Amino acid sequence: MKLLLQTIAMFALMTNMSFAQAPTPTQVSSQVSSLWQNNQITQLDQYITNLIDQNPNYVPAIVAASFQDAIFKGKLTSAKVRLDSIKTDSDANAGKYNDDFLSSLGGLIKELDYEIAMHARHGTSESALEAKASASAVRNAWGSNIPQQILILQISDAVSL
Amino acid sequence: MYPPSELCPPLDPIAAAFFWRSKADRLLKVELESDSAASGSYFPEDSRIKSVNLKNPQGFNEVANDEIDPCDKQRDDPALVVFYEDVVDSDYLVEDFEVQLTAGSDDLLNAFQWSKVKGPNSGTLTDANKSNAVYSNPKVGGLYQFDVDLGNEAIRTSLLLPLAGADMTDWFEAEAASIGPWARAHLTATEDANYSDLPFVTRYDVFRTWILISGGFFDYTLDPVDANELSPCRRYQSLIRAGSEYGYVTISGVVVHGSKVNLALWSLFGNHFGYRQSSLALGGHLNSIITLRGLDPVSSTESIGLGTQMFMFPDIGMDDPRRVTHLRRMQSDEDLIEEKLWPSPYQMDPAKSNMSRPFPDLPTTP
Repeated sequence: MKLLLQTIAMFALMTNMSFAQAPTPTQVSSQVSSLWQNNQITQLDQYITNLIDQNPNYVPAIVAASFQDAIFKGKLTSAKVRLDSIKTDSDANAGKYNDDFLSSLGGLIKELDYEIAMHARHGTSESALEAKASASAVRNAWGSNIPQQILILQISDAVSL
Repeated sequence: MYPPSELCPPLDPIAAAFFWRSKADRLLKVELESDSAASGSYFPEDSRIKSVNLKNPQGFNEVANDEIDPCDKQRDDPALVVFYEDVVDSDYLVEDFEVQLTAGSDDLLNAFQWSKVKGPNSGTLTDANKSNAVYSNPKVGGLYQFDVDLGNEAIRTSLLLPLAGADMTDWFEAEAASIGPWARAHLTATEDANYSDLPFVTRYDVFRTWILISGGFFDYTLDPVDANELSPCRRYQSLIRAGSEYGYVTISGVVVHGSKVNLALWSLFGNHFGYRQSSLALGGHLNSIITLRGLDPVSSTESIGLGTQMFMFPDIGMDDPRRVTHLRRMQSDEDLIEEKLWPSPYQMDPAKSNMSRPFPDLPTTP
């Protein structure tokens, strides 16, 4: 009985994720990293979806959602727009974000610029990217290595836009 | 030929030469000495350089000839050695110091004539016609040689302020300026070779290729030599050759180990390849590469920082005080002798130098 209740609770946690209070950046980082490394792609997709739905202005959620846009949906421009919103907020609020995070944020935005330009240079439209998008395929290519888009979660600030 | 007697030396000229030389050996002392000179069994911090036994005062007994060269690794010529760090102040200005030149014996009354026969145009020789002369305030590194005239022959002495490799500032600036186009062209070639229409898969293979380049291919050969081959002093230089074998070079009047120059150029290349200083310095894979190079973390970080600084501020010349300060922060005294060697005042001569880029064909696939 106890095991059944625990299982139900975990299932609720994984699929529903009712965040009474926004999880800390460490918690978000830990969860996303773990699901990615364990190749639990469906669960990861659901976790991020719940996270951003319930905390649309929470910076760690926005960063995770940017990752989801790029890797799961092939929506590179949308991924960049999310990160740009954080950059804009940091420009308007000096001292709100830590320097390491801002440095990494700038790097990720630049990475997305490179990615967008590279696909354009090879004649691959964003709609074609969306049609082909497969987080599982990306995960298979990366293996258990954790991309920068997830690593940055470790150093993000527990703030909202 | 007169028969010898107990009172008169033989007058055969060859025998006479040997006689007077032997008398000189028993009676004559020729030495250089200075409060600023190094002494003791000296095992350089850089284990790739053969250890040397330094003496202060240093005695000399070899007849003057132009073969004498304390910087020649194949010989074992003595020298009084003064290291750069022992005579500079906190602003890296060479302080005044003196070297005593002594030729004397217990019973010979005649003074000897000293003359400077080789060395930079720096410093002053005084009391040259006395047994005890003084050479004051050399401010420029290099090999200074003084002969003391005994009448029928001269003894050569050497004062060595050992030089690092020739000044390669101009080469470094030109190379830094050309790395951008090179890196961006190689990035394009690498992307093309690894293209996938899945987001960030290409980027991952580009990263893996970068790791491959960093670990096995990005090694300059840096051996700057001036036109007259006065620098570097090879005796105090590691063997320099392709494959991560570096020596000591001079940039903007600062001596740095070549491996750090390579690391700065690697960092600059990486910045143009799309990687920020934070990832270059902290990336797990890249850290292991740095460890394999045997550099201490502080100077590694400073070298990578210089590369990023050159990427972000390409218009700042290497002679800018900000660059010079950064170069000094790259020095370390843990395992290297950067602070002991004198910066070379001579520009490198491309015809005499060996400066080459890493493998001409960097890989484009992981």
